[in-house]
Amino acid sequence: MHDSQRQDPWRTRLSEYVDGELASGEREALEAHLATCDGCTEVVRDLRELVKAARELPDRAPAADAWLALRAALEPRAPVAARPHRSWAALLAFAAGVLVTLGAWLAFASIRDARDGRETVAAGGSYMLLLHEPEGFENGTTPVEHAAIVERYASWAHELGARCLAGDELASGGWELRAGSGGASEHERASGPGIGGYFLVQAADASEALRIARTCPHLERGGWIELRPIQAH
Amino acid sequence: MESDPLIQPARASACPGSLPDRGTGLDADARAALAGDLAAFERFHRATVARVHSLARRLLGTERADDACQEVYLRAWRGLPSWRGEAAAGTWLHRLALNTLLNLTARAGPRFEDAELARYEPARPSDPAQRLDLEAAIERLPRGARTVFVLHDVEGLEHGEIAARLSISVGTSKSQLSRARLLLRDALREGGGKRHA
Repeated sequence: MHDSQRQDPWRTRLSEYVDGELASGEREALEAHLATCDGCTEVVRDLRELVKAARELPDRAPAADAWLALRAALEPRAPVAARPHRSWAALLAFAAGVLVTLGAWLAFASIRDARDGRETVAAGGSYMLLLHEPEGFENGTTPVEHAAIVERYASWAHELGARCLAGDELASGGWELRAGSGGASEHERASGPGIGGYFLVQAADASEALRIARTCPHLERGGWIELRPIQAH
Repeated sequence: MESDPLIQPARASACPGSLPDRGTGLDADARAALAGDLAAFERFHRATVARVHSLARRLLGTERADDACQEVYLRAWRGLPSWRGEAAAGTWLHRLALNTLLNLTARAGPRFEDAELARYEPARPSDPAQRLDLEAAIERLPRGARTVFVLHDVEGLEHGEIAARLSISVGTSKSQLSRARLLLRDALREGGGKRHA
């Protein structure tokens, strides 16, 4: 049995005595006890030494260069700052700004906290949600309806908080470039089905990325989502 | 100006001079990092990481310290916009680190269990000449007692603040501190002497 577990009516008061927190009557009684108890006197001396040592504990830097690991973990945030502003990207940027102002790190922390058993940021990865649009996906959509749709996507991204790293709608048109035996060919992309937008999200693992993707309003609108993990290097 | 726990902590005597001339530099780096300057954030990190990592190691143990420390700086990076410059950047980071690390300790389950005392076994070095140091002894404390000890004796928090942060009574904070100190005393004595550091 350790010394601390032996019964001594004064023993549990010695710590407070060392801190000067005993009321005067109790302090005097304890001091009278100390005058006759070598054991408690020795404990008091040791505790004072211990308190002094604790206050003087030197800090030690981590063995490995923690910055390198941290720097790698910070990188996914860059696209948010560099993202172009238009349509739902602009709304996302606004949402991100509000979140940051209110303490996005707290929101992120609370989301992370809710994940069972996950206690560190480490690991995890980025996932791309490619939003495919089938034939006739937005046929007949008015500008007002389109704005409401954009709002809906932006709201969803807002709810993701810091897990949403980037996102945007793709304009119609564009080009297709191919290399062939006869040389490169470039031609304007034909209208029709294709990828209409994307989101880049951060998730702990594929299961979480899937859970996120399932809630995307794109599915309810009749589109389909291609979920692709970003290759870690 | 508010004192900076990362530079002039309550336990400033701990390592006098080991963090030279970082007061204004730390604030300037934090301001630059707020504007997205990664190099400034690196300087901010390098200037403070020993302090934060040591706190993480003492509260969560060596195994979890690296990840916990990184979590603190990730939150700092994201949370920099919430730093208004009213407090020194070091004070802000220290507060953030305490909040983050205490949340992590809370997630490991209840902090205060009577059964922990029965399970506590002070380290017994196989080599009698080997002395147990205070850092190692702290790490072996029951979680609740360790948390209170680190907050009070190492970080210099008062019992009232500890009680508020851990959602316990002041009396519990005092009794856990007493328990921690006595256990540490025993561990250090049984570990081969009264060496503390």
